[in-house]
Amino acid sequence: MKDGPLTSSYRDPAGFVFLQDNIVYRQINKVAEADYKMLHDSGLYSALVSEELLVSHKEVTLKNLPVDKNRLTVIKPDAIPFISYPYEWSFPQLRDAGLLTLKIQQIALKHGMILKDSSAFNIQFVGKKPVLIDTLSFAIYEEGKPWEGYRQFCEHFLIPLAIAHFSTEQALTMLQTYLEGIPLSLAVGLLPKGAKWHKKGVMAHIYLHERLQRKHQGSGTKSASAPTRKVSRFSMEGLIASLESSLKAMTAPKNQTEWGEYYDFTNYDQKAFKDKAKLVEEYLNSLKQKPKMVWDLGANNGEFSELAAKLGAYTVAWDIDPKAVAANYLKHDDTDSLMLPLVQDIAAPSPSVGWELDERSSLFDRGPADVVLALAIIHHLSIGRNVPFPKVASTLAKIGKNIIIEFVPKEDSKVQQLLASRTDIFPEYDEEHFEAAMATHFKLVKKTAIKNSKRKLYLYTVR
Amino acid sequence: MEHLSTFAYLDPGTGSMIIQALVGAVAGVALFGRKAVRAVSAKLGSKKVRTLEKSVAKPKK
Repeated sequence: MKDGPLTSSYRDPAGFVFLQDNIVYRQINKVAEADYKMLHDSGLYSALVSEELLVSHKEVTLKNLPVDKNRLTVIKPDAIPFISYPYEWSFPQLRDAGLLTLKIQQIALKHGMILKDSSAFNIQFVGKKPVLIDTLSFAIYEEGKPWEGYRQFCEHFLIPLAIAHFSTEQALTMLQTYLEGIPLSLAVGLLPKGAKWHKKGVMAHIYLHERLQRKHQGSGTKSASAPTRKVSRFSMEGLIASLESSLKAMTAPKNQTEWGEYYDFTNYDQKAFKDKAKLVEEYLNSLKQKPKMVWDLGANNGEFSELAAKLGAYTVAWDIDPKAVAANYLKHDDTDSLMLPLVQDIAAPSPSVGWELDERSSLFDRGPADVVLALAIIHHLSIGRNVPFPKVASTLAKIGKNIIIEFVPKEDSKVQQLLASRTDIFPEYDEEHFEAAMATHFKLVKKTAIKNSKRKLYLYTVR
Repeated sequence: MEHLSTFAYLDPGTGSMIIQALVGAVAGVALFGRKAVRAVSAKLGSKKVRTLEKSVAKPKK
């Protein structure tokens, strides 16, 4: 990426994030001096950083900075290995990000500060751990002042979770369209009739909130309802506690998705599975340069992603199924800090969106990864989604420098399942055509048959 | 007070501010009640109080 201010960092006059020599810095403006000082002096910064709730930073002096009369100082926050967005998170990830925001708010209040905003984009995951990245979100708390980020919290966290709770987790991808959160009015239109009685906080934080918001729309003269806007500290603490219990009450819906129990009911031959794992490990180890970043496409619950993470690579485990991603996220072992499970439909990847289509990066802009694992996914793309091999190969060339890909032939039972309910319009779905398509972008390094199956595993490196 | 200008960069919405005052007050009472009951039950450690906690805290949440 280019040096200079990040295109997503323009809303808050307190400062902005910029890039210099591929390192992320944050400028603190003079206007935020009192808040920034209080963050440190009150002990809030160390309280949050010691619990790993807020990204830590160092103040730095940079040469070659443009003259800026607004600048107070520049900080260098700890690097986030991979930037993800709320519309790529599974249900428990969004809920944990919301709970983290509330926890930080509670700690901030104890230190005489308040989170002035509560955007879900201010949270990032480092492995499976959410962390607040916006050091400038803190303002000095003045008793009686309401929480300016309250509506934002509802629209970024509570509402999407509530809609998903009452429908399906797929609803969370709506956040890709509603970058400022799902509006209260839309929530009231989408939630089922009984929703307000069935879940804690839905009536108050969504229905009453929407009603009052609608009633007072456009009547916002400064003096009109000023006395009723006082929110005592007592009420503020109650409000946060109430939001917390609402969020905790939100659970993922129990409907079955395509992949939720893939490994449980599959008749996948254990021997073939083990051999595949052994080969993937071998291929990963054979690379001249040890991979730092691995993307696993169609990772399911991360069984194979773990192999990469165990080798020390930061591994993004993508899957189209939010339930599989959630299962991976909720699984805990020694790879937690290196494993980031995310929702992604590679056939309709995350686009660049926001202001000037440049605020949130597309999937491609966040790559390429050192290695892409594409295991047992080719048939889903080429037969399931009708994507011809040359198009699959060209996408792989955009996102990975090395590709470990499994070819699943037509006679495999999984492919037969896909073809069971449709006409076979794929005469070119064979090894020969697959290899030819890959050869236009990649050099073949290894090819091995997977034992006890008709499948083959390939290692390609980009030309 | 210069820092106020950065504090207010979001539009909180009039309705959102009113609902906070309302919901916050009710939830504050509930929270206070839960805390108080918990403190008492911790001191007495009696089962009676623990059942009381359930019946007091639940409807107010």
